Amino acid sequence: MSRFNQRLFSRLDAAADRTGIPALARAEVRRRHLRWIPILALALALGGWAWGLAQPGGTYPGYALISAGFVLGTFLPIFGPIKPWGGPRLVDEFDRQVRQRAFLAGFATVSFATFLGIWLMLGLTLLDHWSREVLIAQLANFTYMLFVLYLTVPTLHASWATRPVEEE
Amino acid sequence: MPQIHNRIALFRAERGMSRRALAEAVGVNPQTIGYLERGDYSPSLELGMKLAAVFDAPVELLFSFTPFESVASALRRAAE
Repeated sequence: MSRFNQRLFSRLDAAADRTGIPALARAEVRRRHLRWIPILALALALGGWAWGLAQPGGTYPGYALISAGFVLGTFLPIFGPIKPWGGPRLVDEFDRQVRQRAFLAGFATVSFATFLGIWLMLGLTLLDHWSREVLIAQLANFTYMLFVLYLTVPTLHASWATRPVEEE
Repeated sequence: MPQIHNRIALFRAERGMSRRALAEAVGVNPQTIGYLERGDYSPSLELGMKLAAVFDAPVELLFSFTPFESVASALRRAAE
């Protein structure tokens, strides 16, 4: 192989490494406590949902805000402190306890939000005389927001329930 | 739930063992040893007994419901 090709390929390898995808494939991603990103994602999603409720005629800005929260939320299970089921990394009893408590908090939050949201939307439908289309759009926004809750609350709980251990 | 105090850091320092080496010996992640040493996590009976076995010490020498006496005060008391 010529020296030019060698340099070119090593640069391409380095560029690929910088994307983080090879590390992801090798399961070498450094998991860390993400304390503020879930709060930001939640704020965006809840803000978007509230916007949609306040402006039943134009729910698209709200939908866009929830989508922004969703995009942030999708990265949390990858880089957050909760180790997934069936991954290649060692998941010990401490990791299992953190995961169990975090998902318990997550499911409880989603359940409570569902209960609250259904009654709130029912009330608003009756008070504000929402049309069928508006109600469907509101339900879509609400379901989307619940999914963001499911993505973010476990990471939020796990990140605040424990303090990171410094390396030796 | 009462807090369980431990002397893992002391035993580990005495044997010159790294967190990673101890974690590998008992089959957990090094961070878990850190959480144990800091008192943020109470281990299962199985992990507690594994740790005691690594240090070749009885479990009650490693874990206690009451805080352990500091090494400095134990030495002072022994010198008296």
